[in-house]
Amino acid sequence: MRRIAAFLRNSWLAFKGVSLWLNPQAYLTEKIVNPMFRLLFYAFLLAYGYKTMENATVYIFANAMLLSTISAFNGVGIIYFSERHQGTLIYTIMTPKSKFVVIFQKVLFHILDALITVTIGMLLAVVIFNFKFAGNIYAALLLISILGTVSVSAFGIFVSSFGLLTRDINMLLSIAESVVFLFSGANFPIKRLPFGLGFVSQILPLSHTVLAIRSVVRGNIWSGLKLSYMEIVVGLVYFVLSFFFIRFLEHQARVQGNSDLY
Amino acid sequence: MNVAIDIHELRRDYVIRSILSNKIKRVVKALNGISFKVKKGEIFGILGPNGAGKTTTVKILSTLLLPTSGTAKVLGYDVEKHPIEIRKRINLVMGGERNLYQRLSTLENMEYFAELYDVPLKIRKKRIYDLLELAGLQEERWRDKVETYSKGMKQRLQIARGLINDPDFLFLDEPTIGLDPIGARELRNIVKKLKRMGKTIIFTTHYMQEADELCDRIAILDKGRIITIGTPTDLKKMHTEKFQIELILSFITHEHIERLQNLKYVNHMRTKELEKNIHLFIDTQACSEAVESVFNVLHGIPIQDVSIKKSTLEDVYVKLLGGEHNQS
Ligand SMILES: Nc1ncnc2c1ncn2[C@@H]1O[C@H](COP(=O)(O)OP(=O)(O)OP(=O)(O)O)[C@@H](O)[C@H]1O
Ligand SMILES: [Mg+2]
Repeated sequence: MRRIAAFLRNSWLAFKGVSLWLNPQAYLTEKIVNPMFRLLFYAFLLAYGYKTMENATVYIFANAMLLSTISAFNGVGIIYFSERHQGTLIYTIMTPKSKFVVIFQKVLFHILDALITVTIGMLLAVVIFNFKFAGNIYAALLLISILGTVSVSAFGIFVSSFGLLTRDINMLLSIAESVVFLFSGANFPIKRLPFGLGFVSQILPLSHTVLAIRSVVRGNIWSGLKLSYMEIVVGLVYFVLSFFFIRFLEHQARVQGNSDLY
Repeated sequence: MNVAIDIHELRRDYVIRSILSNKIKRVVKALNGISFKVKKGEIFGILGPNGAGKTTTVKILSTLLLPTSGTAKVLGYDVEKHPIEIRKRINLVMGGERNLYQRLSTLENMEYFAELYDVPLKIRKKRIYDLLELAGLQEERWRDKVETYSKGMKQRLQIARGLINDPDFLFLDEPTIGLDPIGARELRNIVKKLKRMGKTIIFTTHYMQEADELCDRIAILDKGRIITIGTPTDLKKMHTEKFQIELILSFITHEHIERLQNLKYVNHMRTKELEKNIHLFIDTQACSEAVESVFNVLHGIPIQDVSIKKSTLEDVYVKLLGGEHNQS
């Protein structure tokens, strides 16, 4: 019990130590007000651009889901960058603790944070557009959101790990964010992508989640959940990939000797 | 001999590449084949001008950097093959204000690092309190964010942080940089205390007095090479005479200078004109004999002031590195 408490406590400290939105004002702007407007923008665009409200519903929820990218890229994504900036990266490398545990601790609260944003987004959509769904649809949406958030955060770790080698991580994060946006299918069907680029979305986070949301909102809960499991496979692949990648990059950092440049 | 560190022919190059073409622009040879051993329980000082390779050495030993060639063993473990074993037993403190989570408080920083080193939960709190006390951080600031601290407070916190895993071996890279005189002295006392606790310490500094006071042995590095190594006393013996006598005279003749230079106990002499007075600097091994014979020669010349000082580590340093003090 005390072990778990210590683990959570450290995850919290890791979150607090590197976050950009630490004070309540910053949090409110970055994680609540900004997403709210972002969502409203898409929501109105879609609500009046689509013929049927049913179509719009899918896209509104999908965009609420996309709010998780704020945490995934501006939170998880900058972890190693921020460590480098503060000069603590050397201790992240020097720790004898299992890197697996260390990484997990570092992202845990970012995932929870993302989940809060997504939930707020979805609730907002429900309230504004006066959606009325059965209880099990809400439950399914919640589960799908959780899996999607974990998956996109794992992708965030993957991108973040480049921060072990370079301090120029921001452009990488911007590109990653745009790519996820584009290929998620949250704003237009993947099938419409030219040159058969649709397949790319298969290996990027959130695309399966968007499909899952579509299924669930249309009442096909089980097929939705199945799609969501695919999402977790994608997330798992990124997490495992990141783990090995981070070990490789740490070694690379020892070769190049730039772990304390900032 | 119980060896804590064993370095053999250690080399490290830094390759600087062009950003655009990734072509090699320059190779900095930071370490050019250094070898030395450090005994367990020793305080070992590494001195040398900026860019000499001190930090590079420390980073290789603390597993942050891989050697280009040569071997380095810490507590019997090779830095390339068994970094984890080393990491459990060492810690590193870099001087300066970074290397801490600025937005966390002292206690939070300590807690975080305690978990990073898996300090047993049972003793964690006590250890944190003991270390903060040892480092001399005022308790009323323990809950403030580190970003609000002065340089010295951050430095103290770093020391406490560096001891969180109760390391056998501690690397201190310029730990007193920017500390006030009292803070620096307190830090030296902490280092002495750590030695009494049986810890082995590698210490880099630019303050000679400090190195002289603390270190059991010293290596002076320049351009990635060891130019001398030994106890402070040995180094002084090896590279300088024991005493320096300084005399201030109103005038002196060439004849006197010649006679002084030929005296048996005068090993080396130099003159300098300062504010219309002549300053004589005489290096000697035998102080009283030299003074007596010098006074005999100078009979009749008014002597305004005499001072005798023992030669210092700084004299050694300046003698070995003086003049061509080029930065890199
Ligand atoms: N990451 C790096 N990339 C390229 N060159 C580097 C890097 N780090 C150090 N160097 C070079 O290696 C040499 C040794 O540097 P090092 O930091 O070990 O010196 P130092 O003795 O600690 O100096 P100081 O007293 O200034 O701290 C210097 O010429 C330095 O410019
Ligand atoms: Mg240095």
